[in-house]
Amino acid sequence: MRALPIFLFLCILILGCTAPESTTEKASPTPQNTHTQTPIQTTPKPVETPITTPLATPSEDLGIDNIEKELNETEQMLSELETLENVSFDI
Amino acid sequence: MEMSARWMLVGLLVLAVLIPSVAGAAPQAGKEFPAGKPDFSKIFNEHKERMMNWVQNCERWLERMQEKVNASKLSEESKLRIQERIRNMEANMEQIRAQISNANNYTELRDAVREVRTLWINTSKEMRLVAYENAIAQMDVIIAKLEELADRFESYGLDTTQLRNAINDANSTLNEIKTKIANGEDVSKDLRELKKKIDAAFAEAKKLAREYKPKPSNGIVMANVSGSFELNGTLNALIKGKGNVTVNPESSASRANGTVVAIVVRGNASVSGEGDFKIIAHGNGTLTMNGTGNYSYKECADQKFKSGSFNESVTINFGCGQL
Repeated sequence: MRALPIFLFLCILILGCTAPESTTEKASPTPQNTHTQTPIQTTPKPVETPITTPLATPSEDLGIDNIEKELNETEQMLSELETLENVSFDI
Repeated sequence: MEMSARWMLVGLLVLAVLIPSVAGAAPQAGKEFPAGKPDFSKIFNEHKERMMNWVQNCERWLERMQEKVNASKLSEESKLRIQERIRNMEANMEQIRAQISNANNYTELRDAVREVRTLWINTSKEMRLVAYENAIAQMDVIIAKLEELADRFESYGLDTTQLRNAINDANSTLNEIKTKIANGEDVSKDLRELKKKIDAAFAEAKKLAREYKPKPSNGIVMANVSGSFELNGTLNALIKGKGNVTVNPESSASRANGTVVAIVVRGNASVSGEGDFKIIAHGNGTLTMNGTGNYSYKECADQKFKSGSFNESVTINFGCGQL
């Protein structure tokens, strides 16, 4: 009679180990409420600070950053085109 | 009782042996074929995905190029011409996409790619032309900006010889490229050369930018005027253009020879002129202009520029210190 619980325990153990992995989400044990409530926004309001216009940095003022950006963008478009041209049609 | 327990254990062992073998018999995704037998379905999927990604990248590149052309300072005529080209290229890419997308097996994909290769030869040529035209327009703008910087540095009192030489070098290469493009020649190498020269000029500009430190009490004014002007104050100024200029005292000015006036003024001076001029001044003073033109200025060096244009006359006070 003692063998029966051991048998059942081992059965559960074997079946548990060999069962395939489930890809679907298991149903929630608690019934879901169809009327979903949006959580109350708890984000604190930003503290109002006086708007200060940032002073231009020397490179901003001279437009150095913009020139650098434009040079990089031009370079990037050309090198991307080179990469696209190097496509292999060998199949 | 002992007998039934034994049977249960036997059943258990059978279960333990059978379950894994049944589970293993199920088909698994991505299972390798035995060596020596190519999996054409896998090869087909891989190549199709690769080609579709490439088509997508080409389409994205065209989209971005379209945006750049729209935002560029190209003439309306050039923009329309390039936009028409981009539309043709997009139609070609659509065709290429359809050919690859419609291939249902390895053989069909191979045949489609053969046709795509021919179509791509023309499309890529067009893409290169558009990219080059846009790059040249962009570099033209960058050179103009570097010239503006050189003027500003010179007006401040820095030695801009190296920067101007580098700009002139880049400018002559740019003009050669324009001629080559007009003659239908390949300019890919020249463009790389031009990029190097612009980089060199930009490096010079960055060096000078480190030395450019106007006093906080100094104002800056930059203006273009067709008409007449009067500039007074304690200044470092550069006046370039065509026309007659009077400087008082004359000793405060150095003039370049030639038909184009280029005057550098230092100290307490009064300058007036009539013609077409570009005026850049650092210091404390007043600039009055009559005619048409535009300007940007800031009263103190650490402020942001204010800009405007005029049709009759305008007076700008610049500098936070005393005259």
